Formats: sequence, C-alpha cells, structure tokens
Amino acid sequence: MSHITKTRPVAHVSRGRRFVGAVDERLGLDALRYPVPEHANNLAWSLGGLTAVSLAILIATGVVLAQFYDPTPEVANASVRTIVEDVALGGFIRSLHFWAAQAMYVLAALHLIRVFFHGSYKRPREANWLIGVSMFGLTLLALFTGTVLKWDQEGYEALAHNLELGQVLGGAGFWFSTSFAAHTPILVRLYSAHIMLIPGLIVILVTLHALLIKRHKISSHPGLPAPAPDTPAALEPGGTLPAPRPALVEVSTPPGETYLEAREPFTHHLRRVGAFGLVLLAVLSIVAVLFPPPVGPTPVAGVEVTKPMWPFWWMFTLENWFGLPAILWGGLALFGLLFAVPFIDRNPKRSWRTRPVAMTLAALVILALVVLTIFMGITTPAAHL
Amino acid sequence: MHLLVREPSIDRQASGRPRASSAVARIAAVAAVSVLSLAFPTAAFAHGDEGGVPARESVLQAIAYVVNTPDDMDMITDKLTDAKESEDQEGVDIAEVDQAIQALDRGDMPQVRLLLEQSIGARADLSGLDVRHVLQVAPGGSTVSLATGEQPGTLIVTDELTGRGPWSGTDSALIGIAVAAAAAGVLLGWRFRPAHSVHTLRHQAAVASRSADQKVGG
Repeated sequence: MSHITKTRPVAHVSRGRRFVGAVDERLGLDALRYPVPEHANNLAWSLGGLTAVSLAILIATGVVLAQFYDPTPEVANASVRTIVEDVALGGFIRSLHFWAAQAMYVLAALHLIRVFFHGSYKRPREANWLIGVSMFGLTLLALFTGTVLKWDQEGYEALAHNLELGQVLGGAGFWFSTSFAAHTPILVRLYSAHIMLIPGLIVILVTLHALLIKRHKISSHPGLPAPAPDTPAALEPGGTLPAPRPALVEVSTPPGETYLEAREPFTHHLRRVGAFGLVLLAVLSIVAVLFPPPVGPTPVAGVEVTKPMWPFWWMFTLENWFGLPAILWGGLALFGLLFAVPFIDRNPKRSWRTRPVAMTLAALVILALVVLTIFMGITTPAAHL
Repeated sequence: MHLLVREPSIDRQASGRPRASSAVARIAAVAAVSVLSLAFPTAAFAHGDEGGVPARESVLQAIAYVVNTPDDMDMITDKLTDAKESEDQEGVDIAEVDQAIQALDRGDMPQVRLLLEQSIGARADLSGLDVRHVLQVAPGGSTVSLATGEQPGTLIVTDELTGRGPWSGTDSALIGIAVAAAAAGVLLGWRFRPAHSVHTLRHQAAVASRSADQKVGG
C-alpha cells in the first residue's frame, strides 16, 4: 500500500521552471549550456548566428511562397504576379524572401571575412572553414535558382548563361543539360533544387557546423592578450598564471598552451543572436515594405537585355572581358582559393597584425571583387549567347 | 596591343639598357588601355541562318526588345527583318509586321507593340497589371504544346510589374510592427549584452599579465 504525503516541498519551483526541467530531462537541452568565450556575444562574432536567422526567415517565407508558386514555364511568371497581387500579404512575403536572401549572402560573406580576419579557421577548425565555404557556395546557388524561378527576362537570361556553362563543363555539367531530362522543363528541376536539394544540404551542413563549433568551441579572441599563440608571453607551457577569478576560466589549446578567458553558456550567445535576429527581421521587413522587388516581363529566348543580380556582377564583368567561360573559371578560382585557405596559410599566428601577407592578399581579393562589381554596375548589358 | 608590348625590346636594341621607370610606365599604360578597352565590351551577336528561325520567334524577340529596351531601334528592326525573311511564317500576319515597321519609323512604340502582338494572335495587354488571362489557355482551345527543356513557354511578353504600389494600411501596420520589433530587439540586445566589452577584457588581461610579471620579477 502506498502512502501519499500532503506536505509541500520546501524549495518552491515555478511552473515554468518545472516545464523547462521536464523538457530538458527528455531532450537534453542542457547540452546547449556549454561554455563559450564572453566575446562571442559581440555583434562581429554573432554574424554566423545572424546568417542562420536569415536562413530561418527564408525557409519560413519560402514555405508560404511554395503554396502559391507554379513552376510550369507557361504560368510561372503569372503565378508570381498572383502571389504579389492576389495572395494576402503575398507581396510582403515575397519581398521579405527577396531581401532575406541578400541579407544571408552579405552576412555569410561578412562572417567569412570575420573568421579570416581573426584566424579562426586555423587548427583545429579547418574542417569547419571548409563547411562554411561550402555553405557560402550553396547560398550563391540558392540565389541563382531563386532568380530563375520568377521566370522573367532576367531569370531566363541567367538560366541561359548557366546552360552554356553546363556545356563548357562537358559531361560534368550534365545536370544543367536539357537533354538530361528532355521531357521535363528545366525550370521544374531548378525549382526542386531551390526548395529541396540546396536548402536540405545547407541544413545538413549547418548542423555539422554547429556540432563542430561545440566540439572545438568558439575560438579565442586574438586581440586579447594571452590566448593566441603569437602572444606567448604568459603562455609558456607550464608558465605561471594568475589565480583564476570567478569570471575567468583556464583554457587549454591544442599546442598545449593555457590562458584565462571570461566565459558564458552558449545559451547566452543564442539569446543575444535572437535579439540581433529580431532587429534583422524588423529591418528586413521595413525594407521589404518600402522596396518590394518588381516582377519582370515574361521571358523570350535569344534576347540578352538584362543584368544579373548584384552578387553575380563580378563574374559577369569577367564574362564581358574574357567571354562566357570566364564566369565558370572566375567562380571556381574564388572558391578554390577559399577552400585552400587553411592549407595555404599554415602560419599558427592569428592576430591580423602578425599576418601581413594573408591580410594583404585578402584585401586584394576583396578589392578585385568590389572593382569588378562596380564595373558591371556602370556597364550596359551586352549580348554573349 | 601586341605592338605596344613589344616596344621595350626595341628600346633595348637601340640603347642597350631600358630605363626601369620607362618600362614600368609602359606596362602601366598597357594595363590601363587593356582595362579600359575591356570595360566597354562590344555586343556579340549571333549571325546564323536567320531564314531558319520561325517568324513567330523573331516577332516575340522584337516584342521583348520593345518591352525591355525600347530605345534599341536597331535590334527591333533586325528582328522584324528576320521575321519578314523567315522561311517559316506560320502563325504570323506579315502585313501587320509591315505596319509595325512603319509605326517603328514614326517612333510610335505602343502601336508597334500592339501590331506585333496582333500579328502573332496574342491578345494585347498594355496595362501591365493583369496578364493572367492572357496566359490562361482555355481547355481544348489551344494546340500549343507545353514547354519542355529550356523553352520559356512565353505566349505574350508582359510589362514589368513594378514593385512599389500605392501606400496601404497594411503597409503602415507592417512598418509599425517592424519598428516595435526593432525596438524590442535593441532593448533585448542591450539587456543581454556581455558583462565585459572586448576593450575591458583586454584591459583586465593586461592588468593580470602585469601583476603576474611583477610576481615573477619580485
């Protein structure tokens, strides 16, 4: 026979806390409370999180758009107009999707630059750099396929370029060949890539990215004395360290160095990213209301009169200069260089002051991309196909 | 371009040793000329057997130029000439194409577009707002086959649907919600800010390092 006690527990726990405790017990959410450096809560170190927020906005708005979009070539353009004009909040959702895509591209690029600037891709985080660059490439592909989906003159010309590049690739470009599935409009295949293949790969890579961040922790700030190997004064293996204060934690790096670092749980990083993300969503919403993107004229083959979206301008300047294959070789060169960064730069130093060669090369690459982009901005479209 | 590059070797033969500053200036000049010449590309047009292109396709392309780049008279004229010279003029009223060419000479672009659309049996819609009826084919009312591969499936070239329409109450509500969300985000961001800025952490670490040095030294 069981006994039921009517005495209350001494320590009162609120209902909310008990709910969180119950969920945590079953899902292990407490694992997210792993320690991260305090500086990770700054805006510059939250750019990766903000890129993820942009992805979340894109997925949410994309799910809504997919309910009304028709990828049949005859009516694709008209279905976009239907979304804008007939669906409740359709114009706003499409506009938010459009601007969030560009925000994701810009934030991912800034995140890459931040990681490069602080040398955060160095041992043992090389694999995470490669995953990040892959996601950046997929973001560019998502932008491209999204441009084509609206099936206006600009989107169709982008597709025509892509089909030509598929031919340049020969057998490797089979997926971009219309003969691969001759009875199916390529628009339908690009639609499947845009809503399933590319976001699916990005979500898988985001998961791997997050797991590796937990595995290797968020990198130390090379600007703070002691943590980086290039500031070894207080880092001699076995060297004397001042007694740890409550806010500081002793951290060991793979080369066997130790230093003190202020730490907070990762959940604090998440909630700050959430706050920044709310601002991002709000700003994108305002921009979406004020500057909704147009829907271009229905496409006609054999005409080249438009410019691509601005993230592709640098490639199209190369096309103007060296011909259509330059788009392919330029893109491959940039991403080849990005993928090779951790293997080329073996210098263990992380502070930008101690990496003049890497900083100079990065500045030159960024300058080249900016100049090529500006060139396209001031050039009238030329026919190449 | 090649002659310019070869000039330094001619200098070497004449004077024995070229001046470095002169060579650098020439390389800079060649680079500048190259970049400037590349910055203004000439359009490359395909000149194949235009007679083999169906007239309907050429008329559609001409309409696309009228809609997208109405100032490009040369391309519009070229396409209409192609249509007239095409061996396959099925589905095109060439008389209306001729009238369109005359309207083009007068610079009457709306009339050019109207005549060209009529010449291929497409319903004219110049409002640019509601084009869906143009694209909807009645059941059994068309023999047009569905697009495959890279075919655009375009029956009629529509106007661009401009992004910004008249301001509405929904726009005001969305802006209001967004401003409130931005304020909440800024407030939460400030509330959740790190206890120490990077500047403070740097200062604390420097102080800790100095005191450690003093202990080791003393």
